[in-house]
Amino acid sequence: MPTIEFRNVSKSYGKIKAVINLNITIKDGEYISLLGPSGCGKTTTLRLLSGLIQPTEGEILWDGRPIQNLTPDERDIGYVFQQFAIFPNMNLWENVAYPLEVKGLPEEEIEETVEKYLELVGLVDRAHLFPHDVGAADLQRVGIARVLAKGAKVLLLDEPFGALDFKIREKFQDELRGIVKRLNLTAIHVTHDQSEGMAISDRIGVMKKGRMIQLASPMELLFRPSQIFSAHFIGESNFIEGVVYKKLDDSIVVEVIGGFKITCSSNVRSFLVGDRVVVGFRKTFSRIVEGDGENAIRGEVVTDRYLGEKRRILVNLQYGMRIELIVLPHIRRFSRGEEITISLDPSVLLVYNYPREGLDEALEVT
Amino acid sequence: MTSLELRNISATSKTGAKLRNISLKVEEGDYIVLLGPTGSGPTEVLQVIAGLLKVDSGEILLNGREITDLPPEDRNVSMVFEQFNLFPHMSVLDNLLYSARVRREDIAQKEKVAEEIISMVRLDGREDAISRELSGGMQQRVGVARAVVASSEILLLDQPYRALDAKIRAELRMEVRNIVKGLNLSCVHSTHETEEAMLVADKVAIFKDGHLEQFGTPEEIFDNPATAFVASFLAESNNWDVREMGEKVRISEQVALDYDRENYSGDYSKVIIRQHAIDLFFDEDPPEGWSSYEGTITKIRLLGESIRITVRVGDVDFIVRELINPNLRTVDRLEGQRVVLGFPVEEVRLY
Repeated sequence: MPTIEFRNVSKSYGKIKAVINLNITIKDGEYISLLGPSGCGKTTTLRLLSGLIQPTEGEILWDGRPIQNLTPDERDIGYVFQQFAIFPNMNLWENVAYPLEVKGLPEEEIEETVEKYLELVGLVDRAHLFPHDVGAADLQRVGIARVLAKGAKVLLLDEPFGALDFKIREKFQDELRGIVKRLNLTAIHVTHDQSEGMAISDRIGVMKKGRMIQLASPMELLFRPSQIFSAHFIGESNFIEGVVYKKLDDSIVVEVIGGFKITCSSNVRSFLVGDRVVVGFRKTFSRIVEGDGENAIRGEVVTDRYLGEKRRILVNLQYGMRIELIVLPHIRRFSRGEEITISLDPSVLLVYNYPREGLDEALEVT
Repeated sequence: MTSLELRNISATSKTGAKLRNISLKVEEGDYIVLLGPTGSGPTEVLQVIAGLLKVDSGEILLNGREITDLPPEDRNVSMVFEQFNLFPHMSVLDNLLYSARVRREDIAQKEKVAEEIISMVRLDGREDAISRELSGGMQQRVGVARAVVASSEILLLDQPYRALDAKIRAELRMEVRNIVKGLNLSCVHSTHETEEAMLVADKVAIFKDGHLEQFGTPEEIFDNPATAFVASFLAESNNWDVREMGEKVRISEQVALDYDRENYSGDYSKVIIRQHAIDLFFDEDPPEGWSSYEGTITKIRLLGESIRITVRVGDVDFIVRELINPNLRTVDRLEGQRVVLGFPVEEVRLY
């Protein structure tokens, strides 16, 4: 439905900056998730869009039109929270019908609309039941049916599965995405659960300390994260400091801590010899080899923990730098202090400029 | 030396969760994790040890001393909860010294211990910070430090990382284990998270409906799960009913699996193959001796560090879980493709 644009939007509460200079466009019919540590600005972004709060700076546009002057009720928005705002004294049908009755719609239209949306969420046969007779997932289904019946074109979902059991959650994610796509709605979904974001979204916005760090598809965030914080926050990665030692046609050689020279070939054209960089790689992307190995780094094993379907091996490089490898369980076990050689495929290494604020701060989650 | 022993403990919590005849030994310096779904027993066992839940029958021994009927304050155990339970208005140091003050212990000596522990939990320079102003991860480290300063005979951690962001949780869990191990403390930790349990535990106790299903090292329980519940709780699994046993075990009209007939003779009702044990083969053949089946990829689900792939073989869905790796860079385009899946015969587990 509408295309939503945030233009230089900031929101401050006194000295606290909750959202800083947000510039994103959410396309018509797109399902977006916002992910990030607690307090990163995800929920504030939803509230700004809903009209519950106003930006301190910048503007929000719907199909190119500013919406600052519209009240929450005038914004075709449905807000769904973790806690179900369900009336306990009304049955499921009445819960969905209530806002339509308040609007004063004709009875026939109410009947038709309620039936349509209860059917959509699979509750039409149980419409006569009361909230205490059904489970948490069904209560959330009622909440969704109600906002849709009210005519919402944009769904704002704030941890909508937070109160649901893990197993039900997954089924519900598929169901919700299906509804959004079928009705061609636009959805913005706040979650702290990465796999939920990955499963449900067309794109994921990774936020940190009020800023949008990267807005990209789940595959892009997993395999080609353009920002160091998204590489860290989504999935699990290692980061090693280094300096660009040599520039080749399609690759660069980085001398990393410990003096190892590592060739990196993905998105490295802009780097120059002497640049201070950080080389990142997914913990599952490394290969343990015997002998010197190609494109390899070496270290000493600190711990090798067996987790059944995988193992986590913690390795000391030099100068207190540690990396962790996630490997399949059948690879031979290592003892503490044993030397380990790790071979890295140049095409999967991610190279970032050394962050101005320092590496620790750039990766900090709280 | 045995630090803690539970002998035939039965108890009923206020929420109705029951413990049924639990016996468990914690050796000195052991890090034990109690693992199970909500209400299955782990938290209730900790409450029983701490004296917060009265037992219906059985005995609890702490370093050889029976404590079954002692009130919580006389047990010398420390419990760290999911909600950090610090005094929010007090400084880190005051939180650490609180129990010593209440017990009128030698504060100067305790202060020295507290300073050492503060350094171990990486809170140097934060001694005077007010607790409520610390991040969740820091507050939980203070919680652990407080339990250590109180010189408890055993440390109890009740879902200590549940309230924290996933990233902080991942950082903190090994850190706390290292602190506990460094001090040679005995520790009992409850969680619903399998990976957390496997990562930090010397031994894991798995609970179901108040029963202790299996107790052993992570390797023992993962490699030789005693029950179908343990097998599928420890790893996401394909779980089917046995339709018919013979040369093969039939799981549907169209699909029958080879199984290790020497190992399994008799009647079985469940077949389990763990998702991670199945591999997909696009251009090559499975290794010799593996069972293999051809199917169509019907669904891909990205999970972060792993990817779940559903393959339809005949009238059965096989779920396969792969750690993300560079070969999966185009996995999102695989839906609808034909593929061969394979697994070693010993991965077909019967219960």
